[in-house]
Amino acid sequence: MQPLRTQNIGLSLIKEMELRGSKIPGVVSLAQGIPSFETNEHIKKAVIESLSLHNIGKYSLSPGLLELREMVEEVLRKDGISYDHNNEIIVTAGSIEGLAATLLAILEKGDEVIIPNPSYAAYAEAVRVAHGVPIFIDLHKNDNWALSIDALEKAKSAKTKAVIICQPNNPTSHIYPESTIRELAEWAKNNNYFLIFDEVYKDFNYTAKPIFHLAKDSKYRGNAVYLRSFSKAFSMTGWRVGYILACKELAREILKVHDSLVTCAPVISQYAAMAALRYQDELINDIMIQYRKRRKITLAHFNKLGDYFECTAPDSGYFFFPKILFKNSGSKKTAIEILEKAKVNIVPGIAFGPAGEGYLRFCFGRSEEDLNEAFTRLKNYFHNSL
Amino acid sequence: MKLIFQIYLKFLAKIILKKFRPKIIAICGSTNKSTAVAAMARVLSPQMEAAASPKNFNAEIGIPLSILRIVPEGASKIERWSSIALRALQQVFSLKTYPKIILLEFGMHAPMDAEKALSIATPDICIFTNLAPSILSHTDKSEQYNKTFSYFLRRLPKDTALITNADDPHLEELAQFFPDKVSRYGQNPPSDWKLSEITDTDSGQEFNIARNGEIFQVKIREFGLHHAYIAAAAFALSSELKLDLKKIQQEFCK
Ligand SMILES: Cc1ncc(COP(=O)(O)O)c(C=O)c1O
Repeated sequence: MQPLRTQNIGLSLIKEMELRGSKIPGVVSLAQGIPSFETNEHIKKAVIESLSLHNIGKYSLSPGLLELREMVEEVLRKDGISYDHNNEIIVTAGSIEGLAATLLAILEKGDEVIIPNPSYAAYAEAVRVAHGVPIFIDLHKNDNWALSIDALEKAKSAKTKAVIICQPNNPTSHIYPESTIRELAEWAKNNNYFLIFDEVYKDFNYTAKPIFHLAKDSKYRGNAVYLRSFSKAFSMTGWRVGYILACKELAREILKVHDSLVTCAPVISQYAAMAALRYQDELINDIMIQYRKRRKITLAHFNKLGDYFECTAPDSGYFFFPKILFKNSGSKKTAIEILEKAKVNIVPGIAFGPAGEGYLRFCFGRSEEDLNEAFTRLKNYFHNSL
Repeated sequence: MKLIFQIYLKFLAKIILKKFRPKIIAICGSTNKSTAVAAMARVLSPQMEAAASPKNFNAEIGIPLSILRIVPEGASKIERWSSIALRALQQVFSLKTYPKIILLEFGMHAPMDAEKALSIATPDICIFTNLAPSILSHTDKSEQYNKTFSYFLRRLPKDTALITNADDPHLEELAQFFPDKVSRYGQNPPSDWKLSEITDTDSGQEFNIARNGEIFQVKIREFGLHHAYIAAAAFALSSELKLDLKKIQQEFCK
């Protein structure tokens, strides 16, 4: 076979860890970010109903079912955000397809995309798939993972095209404050860069302050793309449905790529998404009660492992991202050792970019039973072997 | 069970309508109904309080609940029927005053839906948003819509005031079924409420709405052409209700 371009593109370390874990019997996985919850009954019921009422076996329009886009527009309106469902909202097969379509639309070969890290592992690979070059800048680990404009300024070049911001961030689970986002937006506007906001964890907020959405400020519409998803807050990872918000000039271009990639998001999942939006207030409230509980349980476990990890409680998402305090030979080796000896699967911080080295990511979206079992094993492992 | 619940709600809603006799405004069409209801209720409110549909309900339950002024707990919809039934009954006894008008979303997919909606409330004014886009999204719906809406229009009392989108070819195809009193809005003739100079700005859209030589300049924060159409329809409605159009213009520009 001829050598292929994609040979230089890796499968993310998260997937690699899952693969390793699947070969060891009896492993408890806190690795991949999958909620343990089933998709809610109300959503399932609505989908069953839609099966009998609509012809769900047909393609929808490429940007998605009109009814769903209209609902999205309404939901946004309540949050003080205006995007036109006819031209500015595209329903995607999960946010990752939205990201790929956006990058493929905006990047020329060799264009650079700045990725503040640690951040979601798939960004760099998606940039490479789109012929771009990921440029990592470090978030400030000693300052609650703050983003500095100085670092962005230093990283920019004639080839810079975009910045990917995970708001709230995975794996650090911190929320960028409004002041940072506004500073970043001004900087991007002045330089004419695109800002790609990945907002898949926007409904997870354990703080008293609301999360700031730049989309509320129409001044930056020309520069910003927002990626949203039903995967996380509605426990719908397998349905593969999310949406993009972008001004119409940009959405028109992204749509061409989206059409080539998937034609449209799965229609049955679009009906599920409509039900999710219809019931969203209740569903999110209910699920967040569960996540808060799991977060508390996990925090209590970490408090007992204070000699080995330094960690703060997450502000958002469903990850703890503690710093390794014990002697180690890198986060990857540590994670593999923990997997093999303690039979608990977690993700090494290096998976999220160079600034993630020295950290490990634990997903607390898993069942309480799994969380308790995993931490019992971890305690035994640390107390006996370190 | 569902049927009994619907009949029960309909019965209570009719009591309310009989008692207070609000002017009934039906918002019809394939899309933009909720957006239209929300925008209209907002711009009318300083001059005339309006009761308005709670969101995303189908007509058989949504129309009676709107009339009974019940918004299910938690702003939306997962509330037990029994508790809604009880609250509906309480409303019949406790409502002492009522807005002069009520904006109702008439969601209709088949002639049967039109029949059901009309059996609960007969509109004094009927506003059509559009029919075209949904037909595009599901091609086989076209004929069904035609059947449904021609049936609905034929069943309207002759003195209903119809406010309709002149630029929607699917609606114009139904013109033979329109009642006598029709006003049209849109960018093209024969619009009575003519939209022009629609431009996108950094913070939304600007456009003019003109009628008989009188021009209203409107600025809104929303993006998307349909919002300009909704604004034009709101002007037509306000004129029908004999409201001060300058104030409507100010409300939009807020
Ligand atoms: C930050 C972040 N973005 C995007 C995704 C992908 O989500 P989706 O299922 O919407 O493609 C994930 C999933 O783990 C994620 O953590």
